[in-house]
Amino acid sequence: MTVAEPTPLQEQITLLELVDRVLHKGVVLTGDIMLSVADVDLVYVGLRVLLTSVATLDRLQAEGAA
Amino acid sequence: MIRVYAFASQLERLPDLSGVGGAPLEARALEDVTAVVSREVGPRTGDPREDAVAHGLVVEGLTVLARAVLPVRFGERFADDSTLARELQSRLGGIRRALVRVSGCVEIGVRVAAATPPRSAVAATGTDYMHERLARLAEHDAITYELHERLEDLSRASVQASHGAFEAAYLVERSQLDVVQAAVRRFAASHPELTVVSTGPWAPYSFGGDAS
Repeated sequence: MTVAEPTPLQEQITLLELVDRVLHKGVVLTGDIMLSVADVDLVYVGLRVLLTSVATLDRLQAEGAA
Repeated sequence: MIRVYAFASQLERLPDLSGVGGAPLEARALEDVTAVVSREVGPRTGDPREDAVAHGLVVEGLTVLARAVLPVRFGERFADDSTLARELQSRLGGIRRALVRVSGCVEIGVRVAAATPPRSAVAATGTDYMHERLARLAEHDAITYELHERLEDLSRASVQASHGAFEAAYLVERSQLDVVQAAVRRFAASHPELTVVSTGPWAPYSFGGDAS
């Protein structure tokens, strides 16, 4: 894998990682945050897009190697 | 409501950024620890993704302005200043210890997606399929363990997710950042069959430890 200028895909992965971190990691203070339904949806959408992105990355690499 | 973004030690100044919903950032100092907060009126009605990104950008903006930054999970809000001050006071020891631990460090995230099996490997029976699958998983674990060990040696601390594909975060001293990133690149180059995704440097989100 070569590392070059960030591609839109890499930017998307970075954004998803950022959202994943702020939602799931970081210090928990009150411990009773109620994530709204929208937030929960957001998490699942994020995961799906990330998985899709990894699959796409796989395919692009395979095409690049061929 | 007071929204909390992060705790910091030796914060030079606030970043030139707005908080969630465009609210101005404020600093609340308690002894040697500074809480970075913003005020908001009523519940947020905007896109939660935008709010989460705004929170993350504030945290990242702080990392270059403080000796140590401890990110707070998105969505932590307190009714007023005195409630926040009480909460802070009761946790000050843990927050301070965590700030010392992450001082001078950034976080690097690494994910490795398992290689997809070649199409020719069609198992004859369910048992064969499970055996092959287990063998592949064991091989994947062995390969990623090699990477994990190498990165662990170069890091102050690490956490590994205990589910599915390899996912880990490393607490890396800034001076070691290039070495760690080079090690990930070498691993990716020597395993072209795997998809390696490395992100960061981030604020140390995964190393709040006993401040939580």
